[in-house]
Amino acid sequence: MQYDSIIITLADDDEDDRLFFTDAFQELKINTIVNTVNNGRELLNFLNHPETVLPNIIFLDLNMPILNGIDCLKEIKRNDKFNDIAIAIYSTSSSDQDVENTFVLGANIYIKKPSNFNDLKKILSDVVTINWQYHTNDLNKENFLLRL
Amino acid sequence: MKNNRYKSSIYHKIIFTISLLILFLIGIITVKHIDNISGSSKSLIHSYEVNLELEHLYSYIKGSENSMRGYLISKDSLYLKLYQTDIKNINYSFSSLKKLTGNNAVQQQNLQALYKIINTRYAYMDSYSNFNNNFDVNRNDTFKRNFNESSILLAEIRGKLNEMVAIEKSFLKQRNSIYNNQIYFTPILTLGILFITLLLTIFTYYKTTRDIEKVQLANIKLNKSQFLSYQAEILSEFGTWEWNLNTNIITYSDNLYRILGAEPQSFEAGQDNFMQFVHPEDVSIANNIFEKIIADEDLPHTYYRIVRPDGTTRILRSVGKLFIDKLGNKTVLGVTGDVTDEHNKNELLKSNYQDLIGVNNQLKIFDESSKQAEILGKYGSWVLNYDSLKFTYSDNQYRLMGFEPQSFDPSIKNLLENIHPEDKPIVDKAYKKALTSMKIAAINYRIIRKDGKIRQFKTIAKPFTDLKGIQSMIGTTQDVTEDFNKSLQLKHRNTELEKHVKELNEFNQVASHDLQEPLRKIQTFISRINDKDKENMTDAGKEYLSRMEKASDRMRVLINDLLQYSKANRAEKNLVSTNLNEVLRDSLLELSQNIEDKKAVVNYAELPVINGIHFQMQQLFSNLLSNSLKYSKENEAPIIDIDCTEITAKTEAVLKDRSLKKYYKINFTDNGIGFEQEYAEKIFLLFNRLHGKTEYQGTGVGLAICKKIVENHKGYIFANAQLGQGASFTIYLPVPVLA
Repeated sequence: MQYDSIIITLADDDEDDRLFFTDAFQELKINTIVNTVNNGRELLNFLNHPETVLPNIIFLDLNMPILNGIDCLKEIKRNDKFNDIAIAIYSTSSSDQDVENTFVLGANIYIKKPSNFNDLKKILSDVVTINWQYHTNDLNKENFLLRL
Repeated sequence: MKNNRYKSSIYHKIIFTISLLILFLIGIITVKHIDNISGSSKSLIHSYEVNLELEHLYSYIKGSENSMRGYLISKDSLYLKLYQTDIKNINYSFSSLKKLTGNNAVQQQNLQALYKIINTRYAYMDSYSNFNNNFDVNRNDTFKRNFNESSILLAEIRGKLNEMVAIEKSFLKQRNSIYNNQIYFTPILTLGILFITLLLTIFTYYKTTRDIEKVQLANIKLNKSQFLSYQAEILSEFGTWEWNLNTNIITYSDNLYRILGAEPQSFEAGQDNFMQFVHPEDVSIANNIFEKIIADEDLPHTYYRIVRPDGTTRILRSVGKLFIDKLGNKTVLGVTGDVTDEHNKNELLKSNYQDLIGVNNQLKIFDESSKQAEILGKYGSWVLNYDSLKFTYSDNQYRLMGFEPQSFDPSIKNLLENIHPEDKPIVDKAYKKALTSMKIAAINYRIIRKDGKIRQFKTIAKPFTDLKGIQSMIGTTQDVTEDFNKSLQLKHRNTELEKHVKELNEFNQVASHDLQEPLRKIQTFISRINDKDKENMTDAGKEYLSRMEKASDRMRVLINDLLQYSKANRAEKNLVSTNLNEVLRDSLLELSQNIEDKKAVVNYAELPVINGIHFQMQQLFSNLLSNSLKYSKENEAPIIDIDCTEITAKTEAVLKDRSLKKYYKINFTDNGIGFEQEYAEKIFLLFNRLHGKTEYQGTGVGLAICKKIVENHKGYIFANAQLGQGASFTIYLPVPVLA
């Protein structure tokens, strides 16, 4: 593990999406370490594991078995230990209700999964290179949902 | 009181008559006395005159004697002349004495005797004078004898005179005594009479004072009663009047003027002035009053109306009776009262009575109709009397419970017997609450009818206090079995419907998420192949890949449109003030790239503010605009005109609404390819397309969404077109009603 890389964790139950995700980062020329988990429960276990180096950004799918994204988000936000982790919601849905809920629960950004691989690469690139400090201070409902 | 007054007046008259008589008597006596006194003083003066004349006579005689002597001595004829004068004087004196003593026989005789003596004396005297101047007295003896004789005669005259004076003196003395007597008695008599008169006057004064006191008391009483009657007139709204038939003068009391609406004594009472107040329709009645008083000297109760100067009409009643006073004056005394209020009260009572009859009739009708209503509406009514704790049921209440009307005495006991065992506590609790708090909530319970059927009852009741103060509870019980069953069914259906809606929502969820999921992946994989392996493919493979890509794109559009359509279906009913100018601005911004690409021109007028949902209106506008852009002619830049007018429903035949409702009519007109008018309605149906997919992209959902949105806003949308002549979409949106 290299300390100057950006550590990214994706929680998504869909194998295809995990594949697209890791492929996209491989093709991007950004120094990142990406690991994936299959659901919210796995994510929490991973985060709470004493040997885990906490990621910089977590990409969180909403529709997952065992522990879904919303409940998982609540858990993460309850623990002060995870305060510094940026949470990006990464979902097929962009329903108003989901956007509203996750915003209120304290997610940092909302990404609708694109249906084009190039778009995906661009979005992920943008998200990873965001100045989180700046984004978080200036966060509002308008810029919460990331648009291409 | 009256009798007393009359008695005292007779009394006064007697005293006055006596006083007058006494005064008259005093007058007569006084005159007589004064007469007497003046008689006495006259006789006194007379006596003095006689005396004086006698003295004169004597002095004249003496004088003549002296003159004669002088002559005889001096022979001077001057003495003779003096003598002649004296003789004349004696004659005068004598004649006056004769006159003075004319009424006294004794003195006449004396005077006669005196006359003789004097004559004899002067016979001597004359003889001297007849002597010539040379007659010598001293030598003549005759003369001497005569002279002596004369002296004796003179003494006799003197004696005679004295005698007469003495007689006069005795006369005088006698008269004086009478006079003194009279002088003495007159003051005593006068004083006595005056004294009596004074007494009488004092007595009369005393009497008069007492009478005046009585009269004053009577006057005060009269004043009081006048004051009372004055107030009574005002209070009872009546006035009095007097018509003196002798003088034909009419007088009104102050309040009569007020009743007429005039200031007291503000005009002269009389027929002409009175007639001005009389209501035009009652002039003949009023004229009759005056005629009757003159003809019959009496006025029976007469009613008539007057119009006061302020315009109000009042009803008056007059009555009059002849009154003849002590002086014989004939006066008709009358009373006129304002009976308007009384009249109105009577009218009110009459109308109240009429109302009561009306109400009674209505009550009977109501009673009958409520009986029928009870049967039709399957309800019965009951009354619970708080004093006797007895129930009274209406006929239908018995029927509802399966009994013949009035077939038993209702009570809480037999009511509970008929109630379903499970529901008895409900009724029992309600009854107890009704007794303690006089309140009862609506209760639902089951009853087991006499025939064994279970019916669902609903009861409501309210406390009621009747006019006699009796407290009771009036209730209505309805057989709601059918309603109850229906509502059960409805509830059941409702839950089913809710389930369906939920399923539909779940389907929407599936459509939005789960269908999109694999599609997105297919598209992503296509994009991966496009990027990575396209060069290695055959031309046919490339072609297939391209078609796959298009098909998947189309599926994406379809799914999105369907999602939007279902969103429009689940319309929020929260319509808020929405400025359509802002909506249009946002839509134009949304489509700005498209507009620019097509080099389109959009002309628009000022749009109104409506009650709506902003994002839906924006979707509507965007759909219509993109429609126009999409179906534009290839060789012609699209021009879209948007205009708006305010109209009334009945002026627009297409609305099929004859009301006066106001609408904004917004037209979207383009110069595109248009379509045939026969499709004008079809195009709003879901998945309806007029063109091949390859010519014009589209899902056939856009206009369906438009229609849905307009309907959500209680509006209408219509299409008008001609093939190749452009299309026009007309939206009608209600004008907001100002709050």
